Amino acid sequence: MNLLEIKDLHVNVAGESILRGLNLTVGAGEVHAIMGPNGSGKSTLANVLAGRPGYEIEAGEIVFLEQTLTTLEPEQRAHLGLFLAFQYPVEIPGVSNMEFLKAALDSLHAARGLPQVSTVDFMKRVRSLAGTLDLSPEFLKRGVNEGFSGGEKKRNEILQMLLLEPRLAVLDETDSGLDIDALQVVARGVNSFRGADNGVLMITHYQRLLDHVVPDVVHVLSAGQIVRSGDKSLALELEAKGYGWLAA
Amino acid sequence: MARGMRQQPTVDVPAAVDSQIGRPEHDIERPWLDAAALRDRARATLASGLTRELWKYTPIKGFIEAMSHADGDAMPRLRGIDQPGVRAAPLASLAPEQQLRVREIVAAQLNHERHPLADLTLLCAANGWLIEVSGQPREAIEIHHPAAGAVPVFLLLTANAEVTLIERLQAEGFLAQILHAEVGPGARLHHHRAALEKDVAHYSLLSVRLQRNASFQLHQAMLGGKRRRAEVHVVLAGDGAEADMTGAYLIEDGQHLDQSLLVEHRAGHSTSRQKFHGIGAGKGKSVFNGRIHIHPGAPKSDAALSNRNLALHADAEMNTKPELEIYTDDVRCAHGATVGQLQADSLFYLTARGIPQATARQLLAHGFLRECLSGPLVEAATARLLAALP
Repeated sequence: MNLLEIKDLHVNVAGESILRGLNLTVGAGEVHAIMGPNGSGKSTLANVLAGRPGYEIEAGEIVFLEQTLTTLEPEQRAHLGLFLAFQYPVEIPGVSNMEFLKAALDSLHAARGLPQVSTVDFMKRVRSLAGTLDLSPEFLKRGVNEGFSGGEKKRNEILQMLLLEPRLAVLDETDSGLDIDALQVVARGVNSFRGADNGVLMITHYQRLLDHVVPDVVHVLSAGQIVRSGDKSLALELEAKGYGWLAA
Repeated sequence: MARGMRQQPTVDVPAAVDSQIGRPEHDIERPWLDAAALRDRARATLASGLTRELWKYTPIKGFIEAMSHADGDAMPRLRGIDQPGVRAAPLASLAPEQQLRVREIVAAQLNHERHPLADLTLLCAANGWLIEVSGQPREAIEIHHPAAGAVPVFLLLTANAEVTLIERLQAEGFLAQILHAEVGPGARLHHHRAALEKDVAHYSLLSVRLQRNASFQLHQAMLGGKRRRAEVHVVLAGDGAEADMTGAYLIEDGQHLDQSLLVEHRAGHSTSRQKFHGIGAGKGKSVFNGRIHIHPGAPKSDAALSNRNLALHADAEMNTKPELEIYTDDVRCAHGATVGQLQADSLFYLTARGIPQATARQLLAHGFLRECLSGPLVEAATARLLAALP
């Protein structure tokens, strides 16, 4: 079964054409990596999937779990099971992580007609996740991402992914700005998320994350199109040769 | 007069004063006040260009009229005054030397051309409180303001004293109040203050004078009223004095809130932090005038004032005016004032996690206010302010 099908997607940002006929299919149980040079459209793809305002879809379609995604609000996409780990997680002082995470989980459960999780069970779950991601339980009381280091912010994104259990997780440069220890923690989190029913789309500039989270498919994005796909050896080839040889 | 936001009417203010509260024959026996001097001072101040400037957005006339009907015998209820380290007494029953002391404070410290309505409040008040604190009283002192009236409270902290003051306004009708605190060397005052009644007309002056190494913390929550004018004036008079103030406020339909904050650095190595967040949740008007004044001879002063406003309603009028006056080199002074909307990035972050748009907006507005709320009044303030969010 396909989780995500993107067909001939053209996207315009502030009058500039960024994605120019992108095609991509992610099946259940698969991990895909999207690599590409700066400006190739990687983050645009992530943001368009999650429904960030300001991205104009000129042509093409995005189908997620057999539903057209492009007309849905960001929260509706999340309710369907789409998750974006932000490249730059937002700091929200005054709203505690605890309050934020509970509101997110409650919203998903409400939208899906599931019973609400009790505060006690919620706390247990979040504390346990925080432990596996090396986040101090104290972080729950602090404002959302407030004063977090780059690594803490990325680990918090992974925590949210594990808590909200999406069908497809889109990781937008989650590896950037991480030292090797944090990278391994994040990779452990992503690997524990992998399952037969869900999928991962990892967007990255470097192949080092792929040493720890081994993808089923690697795609190269260049000038708004997927120009090559292959197995993980493609990532190693890119590492050795750079992106230049693909651009032509 | 729910919305008195029209252009400032031309009022002959001194005449209004004379006709209503300026008549000496109305004076009662108040040894703690030099009424004649105060009346002259008020007349001169009210006629000044400065007063016109300071009351540009809020008509002063209605306040003066209301003042003349204010109950001069209204006394706030106090709690926490029967404990070691606290002495409190009505001004009218003070011993002569204490009355003189208050009289001197009024003449010297509460004498400021920027607060003409404070003078009128004093002229209207038949009584008030003097509270003296020494040591570290265990319980907080609480002040509950009465239904209406004109009330001065004087709070004196001796050297190294430390106390928490909780002040609640529960007024209907018109209230004019002054709280003047003298904070002695090394003393610490923690002040929590809530004014959350909305159908009021309210004038207040919070005046604090800090001596060497004294500190003052303020946590304040305010709703707009029919018309509410809140003046805060803090003087860092001694070396090493510190003031740390936060305030959250919100205006709803038909409300008017005019805040005027003045921090004077008069001594070296003094520090002040001010952070005030406000939300326009309805068709009302908010004015915030934040002024930092660093006097000559205040080296190494460090001041920061931030006032941020969120206009969540299309017809909310949020005004903010920063003012800096700096007469000493070698100081640090930061001033930020903004009026804006909810951050699109924050909103997207929350909705991308499945939180519905309306809930996300509420969470963000809540967080924005909560950045400036803490202390024992936070629950009441949060509940009241949140209930008003769109």
